[in-house]
Amino acid sequence: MRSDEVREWLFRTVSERELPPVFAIERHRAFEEKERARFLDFGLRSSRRNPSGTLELRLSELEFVRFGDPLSSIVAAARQEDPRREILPLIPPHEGSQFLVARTRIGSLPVIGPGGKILVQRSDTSLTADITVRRREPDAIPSDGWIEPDVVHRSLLSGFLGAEDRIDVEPTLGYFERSKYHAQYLLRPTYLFVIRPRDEGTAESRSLWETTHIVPATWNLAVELNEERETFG
Amino acid sequence: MSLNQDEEAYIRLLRKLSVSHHYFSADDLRGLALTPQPQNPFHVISPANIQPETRFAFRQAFDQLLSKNQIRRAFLRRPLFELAEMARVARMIRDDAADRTEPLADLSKIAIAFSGFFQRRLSTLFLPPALECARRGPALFAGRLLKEGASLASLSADEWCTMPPSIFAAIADIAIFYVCTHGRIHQSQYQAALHDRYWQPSPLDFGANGPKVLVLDTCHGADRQPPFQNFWGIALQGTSVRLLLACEGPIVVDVPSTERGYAFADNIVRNDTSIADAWLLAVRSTSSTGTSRPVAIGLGDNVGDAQAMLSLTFHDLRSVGKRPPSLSSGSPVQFADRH
Repeated sequence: MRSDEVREWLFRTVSERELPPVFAIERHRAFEEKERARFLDFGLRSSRRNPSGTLELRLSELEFVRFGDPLSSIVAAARQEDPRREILPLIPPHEGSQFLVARTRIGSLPVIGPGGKILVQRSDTSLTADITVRRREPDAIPSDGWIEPDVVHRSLLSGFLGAEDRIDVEPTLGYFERSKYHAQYLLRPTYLFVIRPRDEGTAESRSLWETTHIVPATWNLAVELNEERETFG
Repeated sequence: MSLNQDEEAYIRLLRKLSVSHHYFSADDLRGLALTPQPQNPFHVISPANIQPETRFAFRQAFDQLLSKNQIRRAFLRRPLFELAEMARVARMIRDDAADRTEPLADLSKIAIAFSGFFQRRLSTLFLPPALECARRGPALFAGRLLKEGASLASLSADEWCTMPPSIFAAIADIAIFYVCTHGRIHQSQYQAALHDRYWQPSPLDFGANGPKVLVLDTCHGADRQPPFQNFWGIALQGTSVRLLLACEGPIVVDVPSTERGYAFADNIVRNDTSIADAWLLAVRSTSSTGTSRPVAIGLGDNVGDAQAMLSLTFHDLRSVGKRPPSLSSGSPVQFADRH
C-alpha cells in the first residue's frame, strides 16, 4: 500500500470498526507443582519464564519414546492459558522449516508482535514449545476513543520525510503482545506498520530492507501513561 | 538373537542414562544384567546428581516398558554387559576430557560490531533508513554472555566500525563474531553496509584463527537467490568460520525484534541447545512481524563435517578438545543448513 493510501485505510478503519477495548493481563503467577505434574502426564517438562510468566515446554528424546508427538497437548495448554482467545492452526512458517507457528485472535482482531503465538521447534529427537499467550483479566477496559488517524499517519511518515512516495506500507490493526522475555500488563489495540522500499532495486543490486512503526490505536483515560509505555518497551 | 521393540527401547534408555549422562556406572549395569528378573533400574539403583523430574520421567518410562511383560531377561544379559563396557569407556573419556578441556577464558571471547548511521553516498538506490536499533542486538547479546563469564574482545560501532569489521576478531581467537547493520546483494555478492562504505567479506578478513561462529544480523545474509553457497564458499574457504547464522531476505531491526541478541545468548548458555537452534529460535521468538526467515549454515570440508556444526554448542566452543578446526584452504567448502 502506498503511504498516502495508508491515511485512507486509517480513516476507514476507525469509521467502520467498533472501538476495541483494552485488556489487563493477570500478574505473574507462581508455577505450581500440580501444573508441572499435569504436563508430565503428557511427557512435557514445563516451566514459566520470569518475568513474563509465559509457558515453556520441553520434550526430550526420552519422552518421545513414551509419549510420541504431543502437539495436541501443547495446543490444549495454550487454550488453558487464555480460554477466551481463538488459536489458529499450527502450521510451518515456510516449507522445510523445523518450526510450527500458531497465531491467536481476540475477537475480530489478530494478536500481533513477537508474542500472542505458540512456537514449536522440532528436531529429530526433541521438541520445544513456547506458549507466549498471556491470560487476561475477565473484564475488558473500554477505550475512550481512537487516536486521530492524521496523528498516526504523521508519526508513520516522520522517519521518511521527502521519501514518502518511495515506501510501501503494510498496515495491521491488532492486539500487540510482547515476547516471552518481558513482563506485560496490558493488551492494547495497536497499529503495526511494516515498511519496505517501493524500489527494491534490480536483479544486479537488491537493497530490500524492512522496518516497522508500532503505535497505539486507541486512548484510554483509565490507563496510566507509564503502563501504556510498558506495552511497547 | 534379536531384541524385540521393548527390549531395544529398554537398552536405548539405559544407554542414554549411562553412556550419555553417566548416571549409571559400568558396575551398576553389570548388576542389572545379573538380576533374576528384568528390573526397573531406578528400583535398584539411586544415582546421585539427577534432577527429580528426570528421575521421575525415566522411572515411569521403565515401568511402562516392563508392564508389558515383553522383556526377556536372558536376551538382555549380553547387551547389558556390552553396555557396561561402553559406559566404562565413556566415563573414562569424560574424566580424561574434563581434565584437559576445562573451559578456558581465552576461548569464550566474543566480538561485536554494528552500524546504525550511514553516509548518503553509500547508495545510489533509495537510501536505507538509519538503524537506530542496530546496537541493541549485539549489545544485548554481549551483555547476556558477559554474565556467563565470556569476555568482550572487540566492539566496533558506526564511524569507528573499520574495514573490515572483522579485523580484531580475525586475530584474537574469537568464539563468536556478531554483526548488525544493513545487508544487500550486489552483483550476486553479499555486502554489509558500514558507515560510509560496503564491506564484502573475503577469506583475508577472517583468517585461520578468527571467529568460529559468524552471526550476520543483517538482511540477505544467506539468500537462496542467488544461492548463498556461491558466495560463502569462496568468502570463507580456509577460514576459521564453521557456522554462519543469518537470515534469508530481510530481517526486521526494531525495538522488539532486536531482543533476538539477548534471546540468542540466553539460548546458547543452555548446554543442551546447539548454537544453530539457539539462533533459529531467537529470531522466531522475537520477530515483531513474523516474516524473518532465520537460517543456520554449517560449513565443513565434507558434508558430515558441515552437518556436525549444526550440533555445535557454546560449551564445545569453550573446550580445547571439542573446538572445531578451521576449514581447509585446499578443498571446497561443503554446507549443511537448517531453517
